[in-house]
Amino acid sequence: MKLLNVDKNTTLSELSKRIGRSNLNKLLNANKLDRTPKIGQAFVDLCNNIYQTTPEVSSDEKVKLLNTLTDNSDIFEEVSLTSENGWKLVSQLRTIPGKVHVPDTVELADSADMLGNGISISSTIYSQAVSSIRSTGRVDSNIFETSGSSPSIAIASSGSGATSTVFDSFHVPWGDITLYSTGSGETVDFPVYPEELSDQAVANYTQMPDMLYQYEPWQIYTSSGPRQCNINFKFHRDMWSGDHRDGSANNLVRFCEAQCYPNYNGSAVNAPTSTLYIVGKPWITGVITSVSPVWSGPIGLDGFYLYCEMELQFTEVASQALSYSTIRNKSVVG
Amino acid sequence: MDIFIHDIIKIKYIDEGYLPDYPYHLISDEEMFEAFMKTDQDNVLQDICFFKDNYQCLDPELQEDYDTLVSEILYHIYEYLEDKTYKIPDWVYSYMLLECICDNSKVEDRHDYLVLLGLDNIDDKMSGEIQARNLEISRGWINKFPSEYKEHRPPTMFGEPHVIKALRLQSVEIG
Repeated sequence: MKLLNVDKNTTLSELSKRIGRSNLNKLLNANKLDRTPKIGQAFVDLCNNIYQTTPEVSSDEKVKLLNTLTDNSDIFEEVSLTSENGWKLVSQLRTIPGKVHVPDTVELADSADMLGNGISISSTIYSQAVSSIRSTGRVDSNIFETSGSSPSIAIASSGSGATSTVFDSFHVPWGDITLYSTGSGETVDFPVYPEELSDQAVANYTQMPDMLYQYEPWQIYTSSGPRQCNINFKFHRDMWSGDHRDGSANNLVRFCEAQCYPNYNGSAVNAPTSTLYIVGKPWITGVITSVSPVWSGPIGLDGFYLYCEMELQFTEVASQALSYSTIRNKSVVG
Repeated sequence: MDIFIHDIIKIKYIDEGYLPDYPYHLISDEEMFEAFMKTDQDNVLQDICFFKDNYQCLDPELQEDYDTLVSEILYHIYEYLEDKTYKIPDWVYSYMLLECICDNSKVEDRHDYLVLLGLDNIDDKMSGEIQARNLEISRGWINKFPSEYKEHRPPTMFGEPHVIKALRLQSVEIG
């Protein structure tokens, strides 16, 4: 069973286009309507006539009518909550005010302007509706109120160590960018690739003094290097677990800043060296000479900035002797 | 004599409910014209006819011009019913096919017409003022006709094609 919206301005041609010309006569017959151009107004007039000429519908009659509507929970609900005039219309035309009854022989696709979802009413609601009608003559609308029992929507849990975070939806390159320090033997992961990697190879020459009549000074090699790298990262405190209060970003910044300081052990001063790995390959090994985090908004729940741009300055401490051939034969990347 | 446009009108009126749901070729021209414009002996429009449902006079001061329009349309209809070789003017058919702009025309056509008239409104609804302005333009256009064409050709308060044409020519400052 379906009920189709109709208002007083609906014309016959509009209704015909809506349900199909071949179905129009079936619908008109089912609703005791004659063909007339202003079909909406004619239906309203018919309803008003029924309100005036039909006696009140008894509680027993209401229960009988509801028993015929259990196959469609939306129609059951609308009919249950309709007015006394609406019950008169249900008893005469099997429809409610503002809607025409679509006979079962007419097949229409479901749409927003139609009732008849094909879902059976739950036995709990049916029992409550029937007992409400028998006791008070009307149905209490609260029995259809489901907001109190609606299932809670589980928002993705956050917190340090959570395995499922909002950032599971994004490709965060965990494990691709890591920083290892000899000071503590620790490795930390960066959640982002460096925004920029700037590299520098230098050579130092001095000029031969006291050379006369030379068209250019003689350059005397003194040394090379040190190679220096500036690496910029941009990251957000939510990128670890989705909860910026987990402290992971701050832990990363502190780890980097700590590389600028040695460990003192009595008279021994142990300055750490660090290695930056990019996709498993060491990019540079050396000392970190500058760590410059720049924090900016927005402000997080803990009152601190969420976004950080951090620059690391590396000065290489080569793990092997560097010569023309070793540099020339280094891999393209790294 | 079969006239194709009469078949079109009959199909339209059957779809809209102004004629009974019969095959169109079984509907007579008399029934078709009665569905279009049903009047009593005094040429007063009766309810549930196509013309009255779609073309209403919104300003009592224009009632006389409206009645003239109705009577002139009826003149042509009666002439045809008397003599089936009589050619009904196209402007009469434009009313029968809802080609004249009115409140039930497509909203896009109504809007364009009201913009041309310079009387556009948010709801694109007709009003007495719009009908009066339309009548003025129509009168000016028809007055330019040779005298033999003015006979039984009343000025109109509805958006007939000649009114649209006059407005478009005005908008490019011709005529």
